[in-house]
Amino acid sequence: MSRTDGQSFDAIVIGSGFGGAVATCRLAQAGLRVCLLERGRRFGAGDFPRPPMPSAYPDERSGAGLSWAVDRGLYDIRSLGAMQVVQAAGFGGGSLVYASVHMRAPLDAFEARGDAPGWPTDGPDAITHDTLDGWYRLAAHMLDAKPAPTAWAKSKHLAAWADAEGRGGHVFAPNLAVNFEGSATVEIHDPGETSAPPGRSHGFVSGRTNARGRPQGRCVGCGHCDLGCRYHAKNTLDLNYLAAAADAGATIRTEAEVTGVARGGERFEVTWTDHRFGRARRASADAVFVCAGAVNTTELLLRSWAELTGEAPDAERRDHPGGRFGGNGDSIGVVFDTDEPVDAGLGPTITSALLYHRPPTEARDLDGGWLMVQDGGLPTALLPLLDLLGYRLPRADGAPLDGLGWLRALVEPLSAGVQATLPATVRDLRARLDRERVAWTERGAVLATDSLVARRGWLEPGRFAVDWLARESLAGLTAPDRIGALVGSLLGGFDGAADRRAILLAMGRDRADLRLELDARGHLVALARPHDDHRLYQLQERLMNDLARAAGGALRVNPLWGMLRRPITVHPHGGCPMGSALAAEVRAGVRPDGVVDRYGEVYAAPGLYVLDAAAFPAAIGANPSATILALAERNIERFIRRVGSARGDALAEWRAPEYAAAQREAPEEPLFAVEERLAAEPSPPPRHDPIGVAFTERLEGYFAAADAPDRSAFATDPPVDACLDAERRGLAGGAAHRLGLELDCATPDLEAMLASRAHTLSVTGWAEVGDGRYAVTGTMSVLVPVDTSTRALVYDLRYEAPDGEHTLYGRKVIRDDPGLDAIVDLSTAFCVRRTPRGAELGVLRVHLSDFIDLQLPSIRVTGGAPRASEAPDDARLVADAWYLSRFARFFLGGVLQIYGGRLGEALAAGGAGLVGLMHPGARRPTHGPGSERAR
Amino acid sequence: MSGPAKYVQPLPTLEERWLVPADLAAPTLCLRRVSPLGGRPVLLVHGLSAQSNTFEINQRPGGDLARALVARGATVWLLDYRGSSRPAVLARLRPAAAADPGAFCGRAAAEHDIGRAVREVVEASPGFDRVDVVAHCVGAGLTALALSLDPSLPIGGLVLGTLGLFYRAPLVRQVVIDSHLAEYFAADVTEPWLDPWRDWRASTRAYRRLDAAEAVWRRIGVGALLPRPEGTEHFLRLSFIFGEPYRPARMPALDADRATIAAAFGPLSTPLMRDIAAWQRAGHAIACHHPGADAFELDAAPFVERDVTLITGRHNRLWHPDSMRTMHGWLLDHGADPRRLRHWVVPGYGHQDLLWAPTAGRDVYPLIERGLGWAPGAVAW
Repeated sequence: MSRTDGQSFDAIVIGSGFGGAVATCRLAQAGLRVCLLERGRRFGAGDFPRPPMPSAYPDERSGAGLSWAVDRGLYDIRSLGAMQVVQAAGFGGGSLVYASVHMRAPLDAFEARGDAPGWPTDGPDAITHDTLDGWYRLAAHMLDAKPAPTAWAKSKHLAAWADAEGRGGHVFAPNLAVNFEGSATVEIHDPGETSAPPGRSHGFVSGRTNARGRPQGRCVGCGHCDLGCRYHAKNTLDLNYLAAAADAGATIRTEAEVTGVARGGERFEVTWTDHRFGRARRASADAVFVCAGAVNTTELLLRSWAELTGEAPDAERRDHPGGRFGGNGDSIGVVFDTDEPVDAGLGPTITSALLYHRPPTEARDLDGGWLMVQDGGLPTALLPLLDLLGYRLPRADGAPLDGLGWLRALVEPLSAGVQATLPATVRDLRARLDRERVAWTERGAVLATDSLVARRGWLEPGRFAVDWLARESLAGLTAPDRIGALVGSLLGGFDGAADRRAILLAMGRDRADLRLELDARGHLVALARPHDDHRLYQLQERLMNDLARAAGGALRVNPLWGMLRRPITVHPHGGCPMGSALAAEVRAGVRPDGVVDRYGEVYAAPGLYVLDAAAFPAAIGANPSATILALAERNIERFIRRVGSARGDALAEWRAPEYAAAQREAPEEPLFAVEERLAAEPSPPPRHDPIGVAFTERLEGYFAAADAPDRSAFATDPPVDACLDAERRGLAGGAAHRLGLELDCATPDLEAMLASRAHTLSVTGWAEVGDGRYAVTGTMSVLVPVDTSTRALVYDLRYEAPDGEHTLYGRKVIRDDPGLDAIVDLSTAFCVRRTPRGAELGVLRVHLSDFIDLQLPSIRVTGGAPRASEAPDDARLVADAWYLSRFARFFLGGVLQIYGGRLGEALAAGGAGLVGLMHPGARRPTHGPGSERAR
Repeated sequence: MSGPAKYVQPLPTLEERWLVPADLAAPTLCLRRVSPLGGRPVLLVHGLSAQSNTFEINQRPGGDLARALVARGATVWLLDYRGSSRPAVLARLRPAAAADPGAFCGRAAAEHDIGRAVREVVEASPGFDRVDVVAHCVGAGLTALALSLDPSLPIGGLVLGTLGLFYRAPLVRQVVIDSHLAEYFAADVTEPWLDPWRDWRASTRAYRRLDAAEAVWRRIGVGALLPRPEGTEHFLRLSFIFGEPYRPARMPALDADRATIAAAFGPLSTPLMRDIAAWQRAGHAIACHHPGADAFELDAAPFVERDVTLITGRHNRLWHPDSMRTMHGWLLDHGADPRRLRHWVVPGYGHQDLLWAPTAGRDVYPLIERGLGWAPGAVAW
């Protein structure tokens, strides 16, 4: 028996995705003793999970598990705060579920963009298209990537829509790593794979044996690429690179999840959990290649960093892991109710791509960017919900409930017996929702959403789902993980005929400026920089909206983005970005500007390599698998040659055995032709249909004459004590000193407002002074950043009183002072009013009851793209809720950024903490107007 | 033909051998040969609380696996080991269990019963130095364990049905297992002679808690709802603990015929069940209750060297198909040749219907035969 426990290897590779498969294969072919550790299972053709049909046997499912979190299944969906990541767990890594798009990086992908750290493009070890060309050819050869022979219906549709929008020449068919050859006869499958027995309808479509002797079927166009190919038509890594690795004698361990990498003298000690036996195991090696995917590679390095380098990981240091993390600008859109049937389910998941490239003309050019929109099959991200959507809660008499059964299965109180019949994924969702619902109810904020729901009349029977969505989406504004919001928006999404639905997958070059860190509880989180405006996603949405219009349908974007501004990605990259210095130079004293060098070697731990997308210093924009493969090929050859040089043997000249053959033929990269076309004539900008938001706010304040600083002095440092003093005097002075304001605040273009720094809304309304009532005009600027811990809400208003024009300049300062000051800050504006009589100071306050009863329910959506078909009523409400929550997210999100921890503490303390938050007696004026208000 | 005989059609016994397992003093194993010597020897190993006639049952009368193999020209041997419910075996097990309850467990059955039977069949088969084994459910688990513990066992082709060395239960049952309810219910309703662990239970904290719980259960009257151990209720008890061993929808006739069930399922072997529960909690076979259990490592090498076929039903609610998937991945990891390691998850099938369904002769038996090296299609079904 070949036991790995305690064994010693030349190299250990962690992860069997695009990086790890190359490393394992080449190390084994070079004759080195290599051990590959993969946390996921092996998936035979028949093992790929398929969503279950409604069934009297809820335990039944087809294939192995869906969710890594639930039963170590295929999909690992990680919610990291500022980013959701969908990744695969299995032998073959992401290739098991990717759409097989094999695309080189865009022409200028490796060039520097602005002052952001980028790829090392100088020196003999530069990374450029020229230096990578041979490796790209090798990767394409290994994966047998080539143009698809068929034009599928959905590709033609995308081209037609693009054409209608004046983008006809910008669509191309990418090369696919898919087998389109062989017979289509349903025949007995190859041994060793799970499949149906003879005589039954499911069969493995017999194709051919590939270059590695592994049987592969022919693509039947079932559109399930991202659920795992049950025909082995996708040229997944287990059928080529990993098969070659196994044939060359690599030791392969699946269901082996690495828990740590440590130094053991000159060597590395790798420990892992053997999930089959629930046992910890270890092995040692001279070199370790971490290829666990950008998220997991970075997480493993963060957790092992102290062991490896003797230093705790430091977020401030560029040579420590965590930085330059991004999602390659991924976003998803669904077009509903297209004029013609799209048949999005027919053909490989991705068959064509629309390129958009327009160099920005200025820093805040909303039209500038590089992005692609590809036709999609089934969005991978929605997978965990398929169990749910297919499930019908049984009634007592056994009959399935109505179409909302799945929703009720999720949210209704159920007996333990019925709960036991739920699919595991649904139980998991229920448990998470319950936890969050309890937490949210404790926060008391359900008050506000209840009020909103009641005002809008959403509590009528039959509107249950919309009500629930509203709660969930608003609740989701602060909760870290709102599956409910996703589900709710799907409810709005899954109307209309299934074949009139198109999936659009967008990607592009995001700024890769997220940071992965371990939080205080040791959980991995992705942190976004403040004021990140996500212009790329907005541009993608506009472009997709144009396509939807051309298709005669309506667009919904990824609800997590739409509602929570949390992008979801299937292409995470960065976290261990490469610097420009070579490891040897760093050892000689050069200051490192990244985590790994341009060959993937970790500066701080020589012998440890990162060979996956974690090493990307910047987003490339295109589907990244080909680039990961090419870089891994390049880097592993260098490693093998260095081993050879050190030993003085033939490995010093080693080259991949397929290299020469691969150079002879290579598929053309269709992306480049379109890029050149767009270099000559940039893409026309997409249309812009602004969505507006409006709400009503009521304030009340008392003013008294005082010395007022001039406006700029007031803006930088409002005289808080003087204002409070003036408020006291005004209060004592009675009604003549009172100012009541009822303001209608609106912005016609939410996106532009959010994108701008000042976030200015226009204001109209009424001022009540004494017995008089006067029209008010002016502006309100929301969350103007003052410094990193302070933001301001600025009112700049004027009205015409009998004695002449009054101007009012008010400022709410939102700052995290000691104490629970959130509500006070948010509801308190320190003001200076200038009248012909002279300057007055005072305080304007928003009363909590007004906020709940008036302001929250008054938030509404205005404008928007004209719809080709009138959406159903509920769907319209749902769509509106998106935009509302988008605004609310921005607002509350900004506030929470400042109050974050303290608010959390108060909430954690439950009701008492919340009361303290709303009535922080110590900081409240003892005779403020709020205390006298009787309702 | 009517009644159980319609479905259970015992083949004529040509030879019966009573064997003494290595750890016991009395003969408790029964080997039954049902076809003439001279063909390839095939040993059939039944599951827990079933008996060897489980291979002679099919809803299509005469369409059972034993007959299918006989028709292929095999010399078929049926084994009743100490997991059997066959009355004649039980009568002999009783004193043996009473004399040495400690040996009467899963690992003992694997080491001493399966091994003994395999060697006996090889000795009885002139011209053959190996025997092919087709095992089902716990019988398959024990056979796999026996081979892992003794790689020199003269087993040729190996067909494991629904279980190997890995035990993955459906979630609902996992709750029963994790809370030790399986042992509790098994012990509660089993004849005392099959519960030689009463003293051990009393000395164990977990079981003292269970005993306390039992008192409460009795007081609130739940005890009255528990199935009683006589007649067909052995089967009901099995269902309660493990889930129904077949999909009722697939097998209505057999389901209606309780007498057939009674003929196939008898009393439980409590210690064996206790070990299986422990194996489920661990997720794989372990040397529980044996010295050196911690150092116990399962060996993949004897499987890698042989032709192995893993079969289970996609809808198996007794043992989750992942039991076999895990075994398959483990063997591939340890270098199994994909051409010699076959893995089938048969759609439309559950557990017991892999053997008993009227269509099994069309859908399942050919997979078993192919695993043993017979070309498909030689016999028309």
